[in-house]
Amino acid sequence: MAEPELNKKQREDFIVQWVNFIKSHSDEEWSKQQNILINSQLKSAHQFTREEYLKFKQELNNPVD
Amino acid sequence: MEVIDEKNIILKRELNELDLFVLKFVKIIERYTPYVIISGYVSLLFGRSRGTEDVDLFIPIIDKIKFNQIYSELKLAGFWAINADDEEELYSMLKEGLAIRFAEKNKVIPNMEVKFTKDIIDYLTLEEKISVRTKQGELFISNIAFQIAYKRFILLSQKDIEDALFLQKMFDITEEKINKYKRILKEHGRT
Repeated sequence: MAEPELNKKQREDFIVQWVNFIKSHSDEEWSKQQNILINSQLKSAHQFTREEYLKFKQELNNPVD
Repeated sequence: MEVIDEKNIILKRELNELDLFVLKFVKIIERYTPYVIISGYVSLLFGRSRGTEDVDLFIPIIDKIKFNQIYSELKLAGFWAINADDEEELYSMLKEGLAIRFAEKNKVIPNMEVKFTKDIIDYLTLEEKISVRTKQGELFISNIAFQIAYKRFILLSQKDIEDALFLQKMFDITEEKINKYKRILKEHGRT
């Protein structure tokens, strides 16, 4: 299997395993683990300026007031 | 998680900062208009382990007066619009079919990406919304099978394919159900 395909397969296998974990544990239990990832991602997110962010999203049609 | 029926789910998960941000936003929006949350956040809500910076949301076309009321209330609650400050400009963008983004004042991430419904598919997404009751409030999200079909046959990125896989496994959605929405998407020129 070529590397990108292997990587894709591994990612999909992980998703299936994670779903099995969720289904076999309480909402409280799995969400604690997921929240570590999401909260830390938000905490470490680089806060662009509006212009930088819109440019990044290719939505800077008009200058921001 | 408890699936009550096709339109109602109870989710007893611990909420994270993104969930609280979304709930704060929709508590204002829902006082003025129906809404439906679509795309990545739907899979995150049910446990998909990935990050996101924005949450997509459709509302039906509303008049300028109602939009101004929503915008005023959002500002009072500490939100700002990333695209512009001027309400006329923001409303024009929505009417032109563009998205406008709201974040907490002086931040850009996370943000709510708001669009007017523009065609029968968007309208159907809104009509077929599902209620998810969390520990701190209710959220309306798109039909799961519809969401899977959209991600799998329209959006097509690796991230979307993985979101679709997650939702399909999570809710044991049959291919038959997904194909029903694939046909609807095709009938309305989306595939």
